[in-house]
Amino acid sequence: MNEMMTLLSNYNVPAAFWVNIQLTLWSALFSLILGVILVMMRISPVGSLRGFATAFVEFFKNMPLTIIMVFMLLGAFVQLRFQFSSSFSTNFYWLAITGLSLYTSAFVCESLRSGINTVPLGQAEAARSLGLSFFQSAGLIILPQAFRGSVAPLGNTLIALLKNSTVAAAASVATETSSLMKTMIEYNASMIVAVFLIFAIGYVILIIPIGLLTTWLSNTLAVRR
Amino acid sequence: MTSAQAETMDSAAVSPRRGLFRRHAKSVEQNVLFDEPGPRARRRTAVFNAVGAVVIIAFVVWILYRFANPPQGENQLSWELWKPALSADAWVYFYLPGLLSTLEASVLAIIGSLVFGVIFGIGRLLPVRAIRWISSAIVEFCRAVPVLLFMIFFWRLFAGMGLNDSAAFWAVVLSLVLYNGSVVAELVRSGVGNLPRGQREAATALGMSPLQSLVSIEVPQALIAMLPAMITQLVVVLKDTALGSIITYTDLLQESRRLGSAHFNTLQTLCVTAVIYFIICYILSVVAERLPGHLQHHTIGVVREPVQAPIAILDPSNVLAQERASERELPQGGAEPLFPDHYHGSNAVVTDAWRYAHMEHGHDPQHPDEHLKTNFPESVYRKRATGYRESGEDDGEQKPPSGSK
Amino acid sequence: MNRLTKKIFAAVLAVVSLGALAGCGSSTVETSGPKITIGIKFDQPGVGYKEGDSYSGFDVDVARYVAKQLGYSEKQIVWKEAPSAQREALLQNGDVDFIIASYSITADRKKVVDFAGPYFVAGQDLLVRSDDKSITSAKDLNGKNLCTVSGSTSAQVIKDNFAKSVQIMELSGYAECVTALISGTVDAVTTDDIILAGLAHAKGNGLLKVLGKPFTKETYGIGVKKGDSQLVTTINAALKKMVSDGTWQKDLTKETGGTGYTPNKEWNPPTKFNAENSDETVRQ
Repeated sequence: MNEMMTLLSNYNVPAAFWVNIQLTLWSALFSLILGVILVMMRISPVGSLRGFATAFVEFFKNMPLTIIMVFMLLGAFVQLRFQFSSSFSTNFYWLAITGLSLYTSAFVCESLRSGINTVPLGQAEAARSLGLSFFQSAGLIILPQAFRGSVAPLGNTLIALLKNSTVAAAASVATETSSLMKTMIEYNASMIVAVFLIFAIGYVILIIPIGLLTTWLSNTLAVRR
Repeated sequence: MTSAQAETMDSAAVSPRRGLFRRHAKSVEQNVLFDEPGPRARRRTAVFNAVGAVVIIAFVVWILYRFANPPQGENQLSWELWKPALSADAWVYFYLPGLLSTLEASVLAIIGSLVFGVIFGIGRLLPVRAIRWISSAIVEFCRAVPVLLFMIFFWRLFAGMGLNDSAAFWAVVLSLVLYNGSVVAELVRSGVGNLPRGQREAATALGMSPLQSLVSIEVPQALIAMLPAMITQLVVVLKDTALGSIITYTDLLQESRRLGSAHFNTLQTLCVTAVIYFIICYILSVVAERLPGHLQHHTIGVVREPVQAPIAILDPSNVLAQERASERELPQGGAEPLFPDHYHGSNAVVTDAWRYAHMEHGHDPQHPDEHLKTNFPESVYRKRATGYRESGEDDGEQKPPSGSK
Repeated sequence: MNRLTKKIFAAVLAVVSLGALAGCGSSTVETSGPKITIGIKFDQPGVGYKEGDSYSGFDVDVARYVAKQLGYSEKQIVWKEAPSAQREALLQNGDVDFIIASYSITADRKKVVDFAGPYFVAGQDLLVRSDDKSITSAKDLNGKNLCTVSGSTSAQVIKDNFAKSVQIMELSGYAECVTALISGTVDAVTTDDIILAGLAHAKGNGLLKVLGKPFTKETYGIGVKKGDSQLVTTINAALKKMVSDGTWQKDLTKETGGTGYTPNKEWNPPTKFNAENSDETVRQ
């Protein structure tokens, strides 16, 4: 316990967690937007868009995140010069967010799709019989209900995203938790268990509320039929 | 990766109606928002189709153009750079040894996580409160901690313990065992929960103890039921071994970076590696998707990939969330599903019994006898369902009403 | 037990035995007496380089010579990659017996590892694009981007002493830095001149040039585990012999000949092998 206190006073652990939380929040936002677009493409009558969305989702679902991150760094940035800022650290940060968002959006799309399956066919039929267009029925009728039906998988995806944000280390984001943990172990090899427990408990503390919130939301929001 | 993709993989795998129902579900999905278009709608769709195709092709061409003409430097599509990434030497000295290390770690990890998962999955189902509690705590802890942190920790720990050469390897394996094992434990738990109650009753009638019943009757059937989910998990394991490259394990990714370093073509070697990973993972994913239809005849359990409950330590209600997430309406009120139906189309909370009701075969929350039924775990159910409290119970400790079980 | 259960057991068994087999495959080394594990670079042409299953470079030559003096034949050497960021960890972990991986002796490092040597004195220099006329010295790097490998101290030296506003990128290998340099992501790569010469030579095409104005003195030592003074003494004796019998010069010429690179005559070859005392890297 004393060891942990010493370590916590010597290193700014909350700051590292804050970096991961920021990465998670930004990626959650972007992957949600991208995921909604993808799921709309997947349920649309337009074949080419459906095909693209399917290929996109399958690609990122079956690709290690580490590779995506390394590609963001060495491929997209170093070789192809896609960049967000002339400052390297800002750039790495946003490249990591891009990688996380692309990867997570595939899972968001799948989660939403499972939610769409819970919407009874009658809802769509009713929407069509009212004369709503594809976008109207998708945006006003189907997706809102699908969201309510896919709270649990979306919550799981968010938890996975938070844990995955540690992989930003592979895209040279040096201020996040796994990098800090590595450094702390290097300089405090004798307190390795304490170092690990600090970070592990930190993640448990972050993830419990998300889990509880997900459970509560999915109980509250489930559509009664 | 990560790490924790299993969570997402699981949430991705929520299409329970497999096999016979798969085709049906697909057609529903595609016809939900549009059907039988008239001539105008068909024309419009065709136009959108063409526009979409053009935009997508333009996007791909733009990416390739960027490869060929980066703002500065060499043409990344030139054969000079691709040749060393595809040559026989590259395969012999880099990709294949790397792939072998990756598979080696994956295979050991999936076997280990199966063992870990069965032990702790049974642990969470045993009627002894202390064991249940400890198993739950371990499983939830392992699910909450990012795999990369586990890896870094074990890497340095093993190295410090004098496990020289193989520290990184065992760190990768053990981390993957802990994380994926905890996911498997959840699979075992939900797999057993999805078995009809008659299985356990029959075992009890034969004089088996709860542990015997679990080990010889329930878990084996649950294991068959969760085989597809296990294969999905294998994909997660395979993807997560790439994290090993961060702790110097010379897996496929690490070897490809080395190869790139030798010929100054990291981008190209990364592309080849990505393709290798994708092909293997995709094949496994397809197998996992096709398998349930073949397996349903071998178990009375539900052969599908259950949705993982969100991590909420010791919150019993997360079980419901798991069921609810995978619940389906019968789109046309149509045929009976192949598997035991837990909800009869309702996910509304009707009685207190909902917390455990899903574990029961043929559960009907509307049934007037609902409150009288005993459920698993019995003591907990009684208390929750009827508000029964034994006199002298002070700390919420749940004991069977008769105190004799 | 029904048919399917049997099949599953068979499959699991098969997988287990596959795993066991794979386990054997990876650890196959010709067993001929005791082994010595030496950490080298795998990605530095001319210094420590692995191509296929053969190793080359000056560090490798020195390692072979020292191992021979320690009583190990070429076949008894197990080569292990020692990336810059992991050298201390490898030694602390005991993963390697010693490290010859362009490892400069610094006061910081001496706190965690012991050094034998030095066996070579290099100088930190810059690698730039041939068509880039704007960089003629380390001072010109203000406002520019510089690449180095993670765990190396060389970029910090420039930032501290020459160009305060230089932006540093750390990648995991020098070759990755070179690709970043060619693609224009960074304007210079910095490390020791001998490594840069090897890189410029390997990439060829005349795209890159070494500035040729070393601004530090990097004394390359052989890293051993902290406290192993016995090994330090033995290695120092071996190095002394290597210089005196002419092998040192012969190997250096072999590895860097034809690249137009000449090591600083004033410092090389080293004559005093007292890394533990004072002879550490000097910043000029």
